[in-house]
Amino acid sequence: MIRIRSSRVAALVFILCGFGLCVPFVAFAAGRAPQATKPAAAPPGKPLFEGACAVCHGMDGSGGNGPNIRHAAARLGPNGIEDLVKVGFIGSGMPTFPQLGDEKIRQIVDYVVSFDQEASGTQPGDAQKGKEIYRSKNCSQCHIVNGQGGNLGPDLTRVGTRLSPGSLSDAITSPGLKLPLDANLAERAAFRAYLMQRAVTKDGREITGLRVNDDTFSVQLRDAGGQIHSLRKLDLQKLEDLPGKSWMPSYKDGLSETQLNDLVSYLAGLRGAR
Amino acid sequence: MKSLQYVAYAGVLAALLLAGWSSALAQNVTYDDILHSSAQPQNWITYGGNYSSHRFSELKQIDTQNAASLKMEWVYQLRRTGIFETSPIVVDGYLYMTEPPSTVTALDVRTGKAIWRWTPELPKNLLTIGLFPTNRGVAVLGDTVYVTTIDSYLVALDGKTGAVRWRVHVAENKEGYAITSAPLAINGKIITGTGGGEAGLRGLLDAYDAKTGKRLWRLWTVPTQGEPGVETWGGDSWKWGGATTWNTGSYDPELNLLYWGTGNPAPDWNGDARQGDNLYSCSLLAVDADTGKMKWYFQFSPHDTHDWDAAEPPILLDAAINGQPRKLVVMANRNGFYYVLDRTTGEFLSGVPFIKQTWAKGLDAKGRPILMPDIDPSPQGTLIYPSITGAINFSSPSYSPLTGLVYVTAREQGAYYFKGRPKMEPANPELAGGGGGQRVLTGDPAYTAVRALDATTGKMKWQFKLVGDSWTGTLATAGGLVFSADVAGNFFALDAATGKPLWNVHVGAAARANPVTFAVDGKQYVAVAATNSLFVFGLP
Repeated sequence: MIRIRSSRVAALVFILCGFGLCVPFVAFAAGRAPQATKPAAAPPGKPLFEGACAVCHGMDGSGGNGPNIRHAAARLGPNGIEDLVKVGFIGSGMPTFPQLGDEKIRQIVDYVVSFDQEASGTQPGDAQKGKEIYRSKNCSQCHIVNGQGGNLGPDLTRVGTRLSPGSLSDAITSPGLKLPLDANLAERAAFRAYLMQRAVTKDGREITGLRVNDDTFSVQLRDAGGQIHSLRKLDLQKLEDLPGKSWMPSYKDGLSETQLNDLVSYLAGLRGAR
Repeated sequence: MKSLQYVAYAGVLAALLLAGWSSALAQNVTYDDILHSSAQPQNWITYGGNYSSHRFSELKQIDTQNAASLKMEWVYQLRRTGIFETSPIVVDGYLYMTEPPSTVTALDVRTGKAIWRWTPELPKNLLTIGLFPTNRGVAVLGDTVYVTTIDSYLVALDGKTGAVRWRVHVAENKEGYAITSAPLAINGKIITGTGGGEAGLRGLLDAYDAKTGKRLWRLWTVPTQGEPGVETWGGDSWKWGGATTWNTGSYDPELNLLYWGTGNPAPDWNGDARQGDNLYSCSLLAVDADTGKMKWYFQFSPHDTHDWDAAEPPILLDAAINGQPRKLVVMANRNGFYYVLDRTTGEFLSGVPFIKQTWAKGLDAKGRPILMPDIDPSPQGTLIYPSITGAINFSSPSYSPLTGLVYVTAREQGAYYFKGRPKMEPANPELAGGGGGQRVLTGDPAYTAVRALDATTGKMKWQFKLVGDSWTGTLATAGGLVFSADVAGNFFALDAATGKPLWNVHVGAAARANPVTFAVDGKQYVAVAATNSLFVFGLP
């Protein structure tokens, strides 16, 4: 039983903003009485999901022309998912499914919740020890968890819902080599943030930084000092990707295998403040 | 029973006030006007700009020299939210647009102020299986505005007040029929198709008397027992064959032929129960406008299992092929090939890929695809380019007779296709009839681009790459410009000859509609619908 709290509403609004659509969804979410949601028993919702949802979200929920929802439960909780199925994402292309009725919608929700449990999997190490490694290696100098830390690198508050343990391990040992590109077109912009780029303006100014936002006509780069540069692509003589480059040092040699597994376990458990 | 609710927003009073303001607001569109639409470029008089679906305007006040100074003139915000795909019709100062799902709004083009608005009452148990409850626009003929509704009615409205003149039932929404397309007005007739290709139904194309609403003919796009073509459907799969007509077609008045694309066979990604070519799905149909008889068909994707509808409006043009003047119909198809056909006979003349495709080795002499092995969806997923969304979808390409180029919004994207349940369950919203699904390719550098293709060969002359996706068609003008937009909310103008970007504005949210241009009081405007607003621009 999960109650919609303000953080959950914030998460919902965040997702909507990810669709380029910052509409206040609070109106329907706030004040909702808690609803019982069945535990993740999956199967009855599987054919329903594959019939009504898979065309946009993919057969395994990993996305298509709709977003990847494998971790939707971690972000929204069952009630948040249920709200979306009933109300839709206004303007995003996500329709409502009132004709399915409450019971079948809950079966779909249960099935979607099971994706998250399946994707979370078994962790390779000890998360508590990993948290200590995170502290001792000063990761918070560049990363935020639950509002605390520096902002040079990605906010890791929900990193466990975005990267698998394997991808987390790769990101720690080979920063910059693996970009999390397993997103659909709509999501991709959000995942582009940690690509390094070098821009040269027509008057010869050079800026190297992390890509914060990017579209057809503009790009925003954050430089090593944290300064954000908003650039019109028409004003640039050059804009190049720097794949494999990262300001994050590799911890390939700085962590034992056990320590790496512990750190990965801690990060995999970061699934958003509740 | 449903009853219509006429919502008079400022209604007759506003119309009277405006009539006093300008006599130009007194439209009466004749068939001859639409036939010669290029003679009145101030109006955007039919869905495709003209009967040939060129989406080309003779207006040239906005040109390559001054496009950079375009400014916003006004914005119309929807009264409700939804998927906004309208392509406005403009006649003598009136702009007629549709709001999702089936509202018609008449605006004064000078100010963007509503003159009237009409909203149908829709059933509470409305079925929209495999489609969004949206609408792409109206048709006008005489002093009447024609609109189709999401619950599958065709309605005639008084152009000055929005009052209902007649309303006819096209098809049964309870069976899954739902209409999102703009109707086409020809000489005394209104033509409409329907959507619902995932709902377990048979597609159809209808003609109605423009004055009375009486149905004049119906063409089923899937043959029934005893008719030629039914043998292309295994078992009784023709009963839910799909092949819907969910976008607006084109018309050749000299040949008196309509050209209408059809959608996927059903279920989409599992063809086991429908062995055969599945005529006339994923095809272009040439239809006698007087009788509704099919003169010829061309099937782009026989036995389709990838949802590659032939829904985008076909472009009609005349050009020389091998030194011989030909009447052509061209289509940049969702399956990734650009086709050139003789529109008198349906003869295949050429076809080349305009995006990366991995499903066909090529096309044979008759235009039939020579398939690669193992392209069908599978339980474990089969990687194919293009994706389900396709190389192009419903958005309209444009054609400039000045450059000889067709401008398309092309999508470069692959996907894993999954095979699901083999059977349809008609009108079952739980299953949506797809029989599978897709997962886009991990790490795939997918993108969209506005591409200029030689109209007679399909050869790319230039492209302008977009970041992310696009669901917007293109608009070409005599000012040497091509307008389009992307899902990030950028509306932009390109040089039609080179693809060089000349102007862009960020309207704040995704566009998924075709832009149009028009003029009033000697001033040219360009307009595009994006998310919940219609944005209109002009020179300062």
